[in-house]
Amino acid sequence: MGAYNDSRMDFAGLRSKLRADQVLDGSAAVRAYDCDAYTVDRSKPSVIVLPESTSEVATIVWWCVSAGVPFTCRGAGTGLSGGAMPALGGVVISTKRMNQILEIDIENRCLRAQTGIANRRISDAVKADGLHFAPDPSSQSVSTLGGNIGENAGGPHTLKYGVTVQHILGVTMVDPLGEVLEIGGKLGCGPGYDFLGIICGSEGTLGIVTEAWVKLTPIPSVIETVLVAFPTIRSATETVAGIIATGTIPAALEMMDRGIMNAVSMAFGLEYPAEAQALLLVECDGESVEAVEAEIESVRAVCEGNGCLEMSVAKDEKERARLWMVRKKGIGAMGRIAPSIVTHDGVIPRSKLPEMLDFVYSVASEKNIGVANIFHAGDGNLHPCFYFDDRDSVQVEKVVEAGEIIIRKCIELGGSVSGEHGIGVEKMDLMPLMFTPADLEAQAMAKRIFNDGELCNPCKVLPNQRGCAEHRMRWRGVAT
Amino acid sequence: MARGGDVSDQASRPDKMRTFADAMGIPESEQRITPRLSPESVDELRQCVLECRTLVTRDPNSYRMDRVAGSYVRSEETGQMLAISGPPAHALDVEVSAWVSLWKMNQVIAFHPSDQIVTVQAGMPLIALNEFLRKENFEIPVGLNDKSQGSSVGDFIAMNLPHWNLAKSGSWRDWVVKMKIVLASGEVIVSGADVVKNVSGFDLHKLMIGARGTLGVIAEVTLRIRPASALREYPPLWLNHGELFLTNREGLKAAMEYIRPMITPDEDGFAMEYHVDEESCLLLVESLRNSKANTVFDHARYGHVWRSHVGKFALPEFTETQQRLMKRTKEIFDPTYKLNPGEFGFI
Repeated sequence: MGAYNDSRMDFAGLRSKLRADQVLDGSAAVRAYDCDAYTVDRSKPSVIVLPESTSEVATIVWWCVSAGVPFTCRGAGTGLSGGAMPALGGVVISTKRMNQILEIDIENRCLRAQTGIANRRISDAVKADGLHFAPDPSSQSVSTLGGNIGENAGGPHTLKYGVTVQHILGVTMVDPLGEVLEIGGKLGCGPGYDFLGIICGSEGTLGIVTEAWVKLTPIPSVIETVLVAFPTIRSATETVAGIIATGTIPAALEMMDRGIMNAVSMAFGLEYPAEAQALLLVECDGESVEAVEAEIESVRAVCEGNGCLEMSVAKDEKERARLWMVRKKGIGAMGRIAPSIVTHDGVIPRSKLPEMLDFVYSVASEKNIGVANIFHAGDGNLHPCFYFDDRDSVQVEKVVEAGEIIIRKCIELGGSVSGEHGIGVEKMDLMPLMFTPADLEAQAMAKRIFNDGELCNPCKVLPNQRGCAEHRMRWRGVAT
Repeated sequence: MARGGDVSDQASRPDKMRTFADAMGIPESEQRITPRLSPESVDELRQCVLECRTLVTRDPNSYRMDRVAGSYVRSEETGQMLAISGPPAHALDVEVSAWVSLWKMNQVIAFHPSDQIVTVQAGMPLIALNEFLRKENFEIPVGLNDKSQGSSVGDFIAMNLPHWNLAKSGSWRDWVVKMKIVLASGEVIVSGADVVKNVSGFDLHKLMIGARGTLGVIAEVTLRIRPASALREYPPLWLNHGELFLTNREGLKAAMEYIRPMITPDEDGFAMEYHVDEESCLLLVESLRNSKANTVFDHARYGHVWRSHVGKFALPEFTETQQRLMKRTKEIFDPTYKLNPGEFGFI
């Protein structure tokens, strides 16, 4: 890179292609778009554009390419690894106004929408027909379909229903040169190479997905939810492995520790058993009461075998919502007790959960920082949540270090650097812990199929990209 | 791997494959295309890739599956085997330096029941892996008749063969979590990890699924497994004249209407049979007569896709975009067109 310098850039050409209300560039706007929900690194864009259609996105990308201006796509900005941060400045292409449902086909259980639509709105649109869009990241009320595709988002119910890629049939994508590509479609992908498989989860580095056909899944007719309290972390983690080993695949199997319980109690006045150190939220679903009850009974047996303290069963929707509250509001409640929180994301083989959790607590106490755990236990997907004050650079440094130590341990145990938050800028440096230079070069080859330039969401995912290293100090605010 | 010894005994491939080839009536001559290399390790496989100018990595012993998957067809006139892929114009007419068979790479490398994953060498026959898993009370929920499982795990994944359980359990992509791949350059790379959920960079292993060995040679695969359930009996998928459709609900209805009148035997005694799985909208039509009249299915009208081109008449139809992207991908990963030349029409 290096050629691009936004202070010398004139965006008149771009403005001429859009209405005035589709371009934002005030100082408040560029500050609002300088990061996503990963706030450790920041970089301001020059302008933010708000296209309303695929062809407008193509026009914008084409302009950026001709002018040599980097561009970064952004959905709702709920990403947790900096994927939507405009690393080299330039143009942020927000999909905020691309939120229309274009076609619903109930008989064939699929729907086409623009990708700026919030995840939850897809499910709401087909709820009356007994269907839903299965991926349910915790941010689903705001996070967009496009963001979910970019990050290959998961959520509590991915244990049974799979991650985003399993629910995408086809996409319309503006490639990094501004050309519109149709990949897959209403019937899913045809024969040949599975491009959809690499576009999902490519963090917006292969192009901008503007529309997608998604699969709709029937809402299960029977759902049973239980919240189980355990006296120790270990008894809860061992229960997770025990449940999986019985062959029961719950729809969701989530774990929260004492720190989360305290935060939720303070914020919402909910009470949990005083001696409980961990909670497991288990949801089983299916088409028949007998089958679901049999699953819950098998879960109960494992929980009791591991000495659980208490098991609350939801009797109706209202109670189910209350049991879920500790999971859904947990991170938000943490936000109330500390100026900043960073939620890390790593995955380990499920059997290693007891060992891993012990390790997380010991790292936090060594670094003298607060940690609470709230995570997708059934998938082995950890989310240690560190709380700190981001105005204190020493604390920030410790949190970053603790995150890295934990991710190293995940890899040592045969896991991965990220289960669902992605690499973004946050974890680029950790990629070589997991992959050899040859592995990373092969990934770079896959990227080149679509993106052989340095303008489309630059400096993300792969470490050591040309022209990126010198910007890193600036992102962290330690260089001018 | 402690269990390795047991597995190799169970998976004594030559016997199994001979039985399989005999059962299929495949003449010995057609099972041998020389020179034939049988690497026993990833390093030997890497040597093969480095030393051959062009090589075919599918196992000729399992060519029956290749036929099922539409890549190989016997000429009606001469009885000779033709390799085809893509439209008939792409009938393979290229010199192949070697067949590389992975049949000696047939071991279970790691089995972790508590994490529900298993890592195997790609040459292990699916049937042997399933036998191994069954003893441990696990399964891969791929709905296939035992008779359809003679080919290796690597072949199944490279061809991305569809199965009867697609709607409920998903395709191979949903069960492969990690791969070791030998690239055309000879580099041995790993994509993915031993976990069921993972977003670490670009998912190369997904690109290899269904790529028919044209972008790299799959050497090892880590699969999710699940505790054994009572999977029902599935019709076999290796039929002589069979076509398998993955369609939508409307397409399924229309196709059924089209097929029903043909299930009565005609004067030559030919009749069609079909198997249908409504949940996954899969339709397998077998014993299609080898005549144009019976095989003309109006693709556009019935809205189905040739998911994996099962059957000799089901040839891949690519969109222009798909074709262009595939060519670009091939040139990045295999610039000398060394791997499985002819496949997908790449020569």
